[in-house]
Amino acid sequence: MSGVGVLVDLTKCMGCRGCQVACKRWHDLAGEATQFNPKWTNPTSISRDTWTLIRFVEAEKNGENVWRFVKQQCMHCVNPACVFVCPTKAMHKADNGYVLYDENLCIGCRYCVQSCPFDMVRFDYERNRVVQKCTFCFERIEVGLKPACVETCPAEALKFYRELDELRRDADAMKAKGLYVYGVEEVGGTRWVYVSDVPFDKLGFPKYGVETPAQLATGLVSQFAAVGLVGGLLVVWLQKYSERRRKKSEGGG
Amino acid sequence: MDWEMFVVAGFVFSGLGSGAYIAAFGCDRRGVETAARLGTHLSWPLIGLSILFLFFDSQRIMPVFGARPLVVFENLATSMISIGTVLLIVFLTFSLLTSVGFWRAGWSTGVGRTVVWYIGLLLAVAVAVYPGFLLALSYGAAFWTSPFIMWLLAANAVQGGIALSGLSTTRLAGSLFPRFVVKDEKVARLFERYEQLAGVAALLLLTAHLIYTGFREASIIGYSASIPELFAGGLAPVFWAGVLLEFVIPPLLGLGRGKGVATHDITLASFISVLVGVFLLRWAIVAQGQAVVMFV
Repeated sequence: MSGVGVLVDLTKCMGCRGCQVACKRWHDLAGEATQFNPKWTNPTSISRDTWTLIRFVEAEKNGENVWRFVKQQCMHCVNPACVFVCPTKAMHKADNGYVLYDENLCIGCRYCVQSCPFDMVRFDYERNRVVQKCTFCFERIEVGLKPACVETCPAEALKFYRELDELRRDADAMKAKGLYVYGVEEVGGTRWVYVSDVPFDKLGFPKYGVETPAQLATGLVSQFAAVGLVGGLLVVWLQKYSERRRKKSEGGG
Repeated sequence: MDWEMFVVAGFVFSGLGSGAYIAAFGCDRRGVETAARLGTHLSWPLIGLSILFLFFDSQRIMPVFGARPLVVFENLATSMISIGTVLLIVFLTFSLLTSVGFWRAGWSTGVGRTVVWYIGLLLAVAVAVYPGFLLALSYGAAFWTSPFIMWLLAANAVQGGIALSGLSTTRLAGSLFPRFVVKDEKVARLFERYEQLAGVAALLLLTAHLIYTGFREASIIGYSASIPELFAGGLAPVFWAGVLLEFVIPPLLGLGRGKGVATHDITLASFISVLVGVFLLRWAIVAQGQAVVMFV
């Protein structure tokens, strides 16, 4: 499969949040006031000013509690649900596979926000009423650079690939060594693929199947028709049954 | 929450508009012309209101007025917003034509009239199921992704439409719109019966939807988050009030008939209860889908 990708090795990430800072600096995003919270993650969620975030997770591994640091950002799905549902094609997939947003076409319906399987799209209601999300630093990639977060990662937990196939081969090799892989199959594949020594459900990743948004839609339409057919038959049967009962009671009376 | 009251109002009015048309079709088939007339006259203003609410919910309406006015129809292949906008506009035109042509211009017989009725009915059903599709195709909300939600919202729309048209059998209609009063007690009972049948269908579909999405959500995030939230969380008062008003109170009110309470008052209370219930249930469904975050 062509297009770019990033492999996130959670066994290497030490939670320094350098990627968070690099993203803010490159995209000139405002800092947010941090706050004490029991989850340690700061800021607590992706927002209009925070396009990538390190989530602190305390998980169990071999009976011991371990810390894992999960980088979150738009996953740049291979078959993006946001592109599938966007009425104006403001949300679109560019040549290299980045999922980008054209604010000149956006009507602000926020269907993309509702449709993201990973909840990574935000709408900025206060400033300029635009969708905000990771852009994969496409402007850097186009001139031969790596995304800002990848460039800055001191632990080399983030590895950038110009070919997604190559990334998937490496991910397969790591899977063969007993590590867990997320993003090769889920929702039809994502361009940010994760490798971990802790199962992903313990890290809060949703368990999605391989179905793409188009396959989900096709499945739903056929199930909708089946429910309609069964319901219709039930209504016809009920009508006939009540008619029969009515005739019987009239005959009896 | 990104979709709030404007979207809920848009869905409520589109449901009531399509439901009123479906009820009007049924009344016309049964020869209850006054109620059929009321249904079609109610249908297009409600659809118009729905379009207005959904339009003003858009946070960036400039592209619609700007250089590319048809921008909202760009993705007719896969976006339910594009498809839904077309559906609403075509149905608005059709129901307006029905309303004006049938009752103002007096087009009362002929094959053409029947054809128009049936095409209108088809469009009304499509409009009734469309919000369900719009919600179900949001990959990010497991609570919406079910094959039952389209039929649930359709049954809910029909119930609301019948209740709205059924108001023609009440004293309220008599005092406000004397031209639309149906004084036949049998017709009033028929409205109530069909409204309750639609209510039973909606209740069954709601149960099926909750079971289905409960399992789906559990398979995705490891536990069912929406059902406890809906039953006992912040949205519980809205949900339970909707269920009570739409499904429980109308049949209970029916029990009071013949026990000293005026039939007209019972009918009026029952239909108003259904209409408020339709609004609350749609609110609960739209809000709950946005309450669970998939990646926590």
